[in-house]
Amino acid sequence: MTIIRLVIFFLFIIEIAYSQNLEKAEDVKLKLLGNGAIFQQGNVKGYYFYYEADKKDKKTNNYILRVLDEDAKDVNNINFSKPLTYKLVESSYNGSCFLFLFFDSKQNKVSLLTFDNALKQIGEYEKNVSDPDELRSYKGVLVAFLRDEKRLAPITDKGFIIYGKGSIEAFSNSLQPMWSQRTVGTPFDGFYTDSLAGYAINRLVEEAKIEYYLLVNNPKTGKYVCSFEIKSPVYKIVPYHFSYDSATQRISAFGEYFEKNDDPMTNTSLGFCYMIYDLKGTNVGSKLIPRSTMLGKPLVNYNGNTEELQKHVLFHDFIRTKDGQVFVVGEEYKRTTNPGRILMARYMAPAVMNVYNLVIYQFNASKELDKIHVFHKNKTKVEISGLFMSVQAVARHVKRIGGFDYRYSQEFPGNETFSVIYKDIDKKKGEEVLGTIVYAPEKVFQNDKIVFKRESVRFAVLPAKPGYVLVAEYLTKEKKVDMRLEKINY
Amino acid sequence: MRRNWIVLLILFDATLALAQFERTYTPAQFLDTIPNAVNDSLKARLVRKVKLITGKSAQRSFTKSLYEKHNEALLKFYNDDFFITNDELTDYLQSVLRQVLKGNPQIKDNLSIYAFRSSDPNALTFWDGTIGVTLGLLARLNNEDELAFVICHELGHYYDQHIDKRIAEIARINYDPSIEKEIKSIKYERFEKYTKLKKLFNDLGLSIYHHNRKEEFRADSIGLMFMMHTSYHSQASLRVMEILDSANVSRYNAKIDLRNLFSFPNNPFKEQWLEYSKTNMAHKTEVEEFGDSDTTRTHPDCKRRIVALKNILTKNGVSIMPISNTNALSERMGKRSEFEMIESENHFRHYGKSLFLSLEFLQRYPDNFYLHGMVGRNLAQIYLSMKGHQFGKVVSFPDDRYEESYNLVLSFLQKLRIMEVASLAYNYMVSKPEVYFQDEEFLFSLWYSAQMPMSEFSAVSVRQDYLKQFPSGYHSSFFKSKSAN
Repeated sequence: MTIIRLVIFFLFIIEIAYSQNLEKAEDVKLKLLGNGAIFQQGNVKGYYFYYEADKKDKKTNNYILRVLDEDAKDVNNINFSKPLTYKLVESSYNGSCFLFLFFDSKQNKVSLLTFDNALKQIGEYEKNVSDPDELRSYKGVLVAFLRDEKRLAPITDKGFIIYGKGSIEAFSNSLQPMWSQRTVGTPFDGFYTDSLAGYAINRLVEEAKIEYYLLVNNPKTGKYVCSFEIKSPVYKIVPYHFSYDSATQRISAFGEYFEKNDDPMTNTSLGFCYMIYDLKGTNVGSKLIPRSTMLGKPLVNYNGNTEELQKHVLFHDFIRTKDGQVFVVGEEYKRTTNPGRILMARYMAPAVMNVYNLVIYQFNASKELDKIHVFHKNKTKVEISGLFMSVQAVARHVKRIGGFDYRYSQEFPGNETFSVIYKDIDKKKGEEVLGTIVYAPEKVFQNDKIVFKRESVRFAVLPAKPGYVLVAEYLTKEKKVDMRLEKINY
Repeated sequence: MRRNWIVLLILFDATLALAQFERTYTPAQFLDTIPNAVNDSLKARLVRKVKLITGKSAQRSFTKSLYEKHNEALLKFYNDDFFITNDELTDYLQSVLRQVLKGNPQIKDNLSIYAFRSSDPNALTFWDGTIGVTLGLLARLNNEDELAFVICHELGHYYDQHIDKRIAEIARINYDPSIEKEIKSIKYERFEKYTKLKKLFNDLGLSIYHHNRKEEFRADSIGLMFMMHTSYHSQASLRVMEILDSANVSRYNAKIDLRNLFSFPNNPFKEQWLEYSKTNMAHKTEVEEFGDSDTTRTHPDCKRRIVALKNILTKNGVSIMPISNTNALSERMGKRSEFEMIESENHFRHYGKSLFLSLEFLQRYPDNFYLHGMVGRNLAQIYLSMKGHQFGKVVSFPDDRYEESYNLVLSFLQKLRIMEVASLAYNYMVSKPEVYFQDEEFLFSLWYSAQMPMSEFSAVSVRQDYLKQFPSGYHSSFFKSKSAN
């Protein structure tokens, strides 16, 4: 984890100075186990730093959980003792309560802890995890570079929804069960309003065949509204993003469509699609945007020039603005063989994944592809080796290990503006750059950069509240960390 | 008779000078480096101090290193311009110090006192007896009697050797074999190393920089004794405690009308700039870190200190009735301190704070050229910081521990987009009447606003205009230097 493992050495170190006796104590330090942003409906509301203080006994560690608010100001620290393999997976905030989801990788147990605004504990809940896929999912997230933050959703001021394989459960702030719903698969996305929530579920039916469903209910009461499969009689649909328009009471699913028998993991899609449903779960409309229409689209270039896109684009995020436009944020990539490497064995394929520019597809309110915006940056090379996989599967693997430069997207309140944050390295200039792309209220994109000099600085970035990034710079000469919320210029 | 005339003249001069704040202000100089005489004096005192250290060789070396660390911190404050060393504020402080020392000949040392550039109401004592009284405190004091108690309190720390004792205690602990044994034993334990070590050090109460509560009470009582040997009114000590107790509360509850201030015909005010919502989350209290400071947040409850002081006053037959004498000089120093806070916060790149203070003071001095200039200058510097992605370093976020009016200004600044900041910085300045452009400080501030992208005149032309009007002005050497070009 690149982020702020550097910061740790400057936080919480016993404040002793310069002394014989006291120096002996200096090598007893806290161990940073994890850190991240705390979200409420996709908006950053704070940050956590999770430390292992020391071993309490053979089976238990003392932990410290430090919580900051959205302005990176200290709320408080929580001290507790838990098993040795107790790891923090995800966090959420609902306006009056924090929820932290822990996973004990030895006991295969999920543990939930809730705290009020002053970080006084108000609830605790544990349950065993036995499903192999779910276990794999929890263990995988502990080593991933980018967290997927998909297991928790807040119910404003009331509680939280926990997604698990085959179930969706709601708990109150004190972790009393509120309602639960069996599902056919694993939730992976959805939408939320205070009166209506949709949970997108995927179910692996057989190899290379996944079905997608949406379950809709009232998140506060659990009252069922509808559920339906996202499918088409002609094509295979892979939905990525769901939204709800309260004015028209319509649910939109946005994704890609493939030939009926294609494998989305290995085949290229035929294009993008919208599927529209009413609150009875009836498909009331659809729109296909074939790739052929995209090929002819002129590219809007920023910081460079290009005539055509690379063959593959990995989609990172889907953003719907208030005016009904949808923006698909992706990053170009191409796999090449590494001519300097010798092929070791039949199934070892040393290769390089080249990551290129960021692209944003802009779909207007009439669901037509309007423009393709290309934000130029330096090529990133990621060496990959291992089992022979499809290029799409390799791309997902590269994303999990942090090989892509995209960091995160952030929607601004009001849903007219959003930002996309990415990293770039200019080896010739010796600079590391934090790039920001903002879709401004004037409905134009602006691209800004924060430059760091490589020889003096290493930096990490965390998501921040709309309009900001949280930057932690480690100044190598001064041997200190400077952490601050920096405003995005647009 | 002659002396009476001189006193009258000084008071008259001070009275006239008070009127000056209505129109403009000339800030104190920034020297950017420690005066040679002070540097030499500190070196000599450190050498003398080190010679007096006793104990075993290793412990002596360690004690020496602690004094050197203290001295480094002090030197840094000088070099970073926290001390105002060459100004009438300093003369004022030194005159009161002289009066206190005159009444207390047992304090033989040659001590220095300076105004200290900080907006927090505070006073500091350093290892060599240098005393700093912050601008934030000076601005709140009502008369010389109150200042005298502040000085007496700091002298109490120095006279009772609190810093020396603390250093000696740290050195003792460092070489204490029982503590060494305990640390070793904890380190070799299998479990709870961090927890036990943290508890050990918390129990020791170690801090090289902060006075503990016992020291504060002691400094109060010693200081009061010193004060009773002077002609100052000792009951002013009670008022000082009340001032410290209300340190976090603004004295001026004037509402800053941002809408009125920042509305221009070609750049109307946007209501969304005023949108402000508070977080629900609580925050733990921060600990100040500012040398040996008498901060109210790390100190005992001021109300308890008032009770203790009252007891001493009553025992010594001193009335505890409040006094309300003030003179033009102390009033002038208070106002000067207020204005100097604005300049200081700007100097240290706390542009958000400097802007807020400027706006707050404009409620009282609405025609002051300097204050209006500082509004424009701070906004321009905020724009330049945003451009360099340093905004987070120069403007704070609202915090429930700040006063509400400050939070509103901070929230306003956080809402502005970069070109909106530039536009306000420019339009605010150019909307002022012609007479403003003849004021030296306003013209200097205009140079910053002229660097905004929409400026219709160049920074070069402003610089030239300044040098033409004020060839020997306060900022002329800056404009002649490379940094202005």
